[in-house]
Amino acid sequence: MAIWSRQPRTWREVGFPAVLLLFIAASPVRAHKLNLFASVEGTEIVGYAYLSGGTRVRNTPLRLLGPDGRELGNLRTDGEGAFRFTARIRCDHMLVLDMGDGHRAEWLIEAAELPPDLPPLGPVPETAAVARTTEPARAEPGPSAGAAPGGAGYGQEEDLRRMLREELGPLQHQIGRYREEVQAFQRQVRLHDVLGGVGMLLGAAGISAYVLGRRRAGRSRQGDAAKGKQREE
Amino acid sequence: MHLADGILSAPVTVASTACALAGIARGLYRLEPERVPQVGMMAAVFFVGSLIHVPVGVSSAHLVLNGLVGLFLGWASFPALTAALLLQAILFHFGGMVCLGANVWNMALPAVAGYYLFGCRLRRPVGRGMGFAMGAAAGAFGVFGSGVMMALTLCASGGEFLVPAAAVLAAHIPVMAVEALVTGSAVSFVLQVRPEFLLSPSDGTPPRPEDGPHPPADTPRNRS
Repeated sequence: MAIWSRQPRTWREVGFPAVLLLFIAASPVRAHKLNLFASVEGTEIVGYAYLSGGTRVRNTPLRLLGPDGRELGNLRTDGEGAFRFTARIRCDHMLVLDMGDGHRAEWLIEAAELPPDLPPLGPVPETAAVARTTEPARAEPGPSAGAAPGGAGYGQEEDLRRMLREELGPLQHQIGRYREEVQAFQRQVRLHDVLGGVGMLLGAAGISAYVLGRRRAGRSRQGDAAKGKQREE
Repeated sequence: MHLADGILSAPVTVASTACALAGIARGLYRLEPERVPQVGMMAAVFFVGSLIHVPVGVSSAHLVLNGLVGLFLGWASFPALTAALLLQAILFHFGGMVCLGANVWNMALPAVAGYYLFGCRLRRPVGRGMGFAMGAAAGAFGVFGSGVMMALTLCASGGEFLVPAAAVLAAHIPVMAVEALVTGSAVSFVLQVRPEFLLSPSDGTPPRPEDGPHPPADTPRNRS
């Protein structure tokens, strides 16, 4: 209370805290974190990297790792922080972006997101088996639907696939956009997080001060009692 | 300034966590109950400080404020920064949970070093100009020290030293300038209104009674 009971004299007493408060209030609430976003378009994995706040991360090495840790690709983000990689194998792609200064981000493209006509990963049994079992199951409706009018040929199936891809392309793009928005929303630092954190820190300090103070008071009471006993003796 | 998970090797993570735990133990050792609220307050300042961004060219870096925390708290910076960094990791995904110890060690050690280098001059009554100078030096030193520590940590887990060190320090030169300004102003402000915040021993030792009461804020020293 002593701070406010006196008349303010210099700008430092009033001006500095005011400027600091303005500084805090004016700066958009955001954290500094490397984010990676990727989605599948056809057989391509496309995406971009950005720091929270929206700054794109340019010319940074990006590695694509398979489920067995094998490197499937190695590229750099372009001048806009974007990248584009043509998948050749239908397996989990782990995208790892490392800026080299302690910032690192990962993003997983699952095998199921990639088109089923890509070859599965060879020697790894599990994912390959999954890819093989899911592939015919998915391909099934195509030929059977085509079979009704008259004999499903190989060419027809290919046509159907291409048609479906063209039809579903915009939808895929749209879903990609939604995932992007959801990620951006999740990564945002919100005011209630900030207030909650400050409250938690001050609350923890308050409780520990209370506990420590009580313990000390108890100890001094015991000490007084001991002294009293000594005196009595 | 915050290291993400998956970068440091296991031995480096374990070693820096052990160092951080030792620092926390040293900070909590004989921490007086009267100082605990101050520790909490400085932890909150550090927690929020990282959200203030300083534009650096096309990118941006954020304030660290570990120099300020160190100046006020001394060894108690370790528990304060641990609490603040834990909450930053949980709420903002800001630095990893596994390498929390490394982040604490990298930021709290320069804070304590700044306390011994510059804070000791603030323990006796000083003018506001001196306060500003020491605060500014501690603020810049905190960021610089953390940058060097981080580069060393990255180097120890098998990376290069010079490239990340140069990148981190280059990105943080404007931050160092702003931190110097903010820390210096904060110290001179506190010297003006609440000198006992800085004058009381903050390294965990209880104040000696023969020191007498701290000079009130209205002494001629503060008017000058």
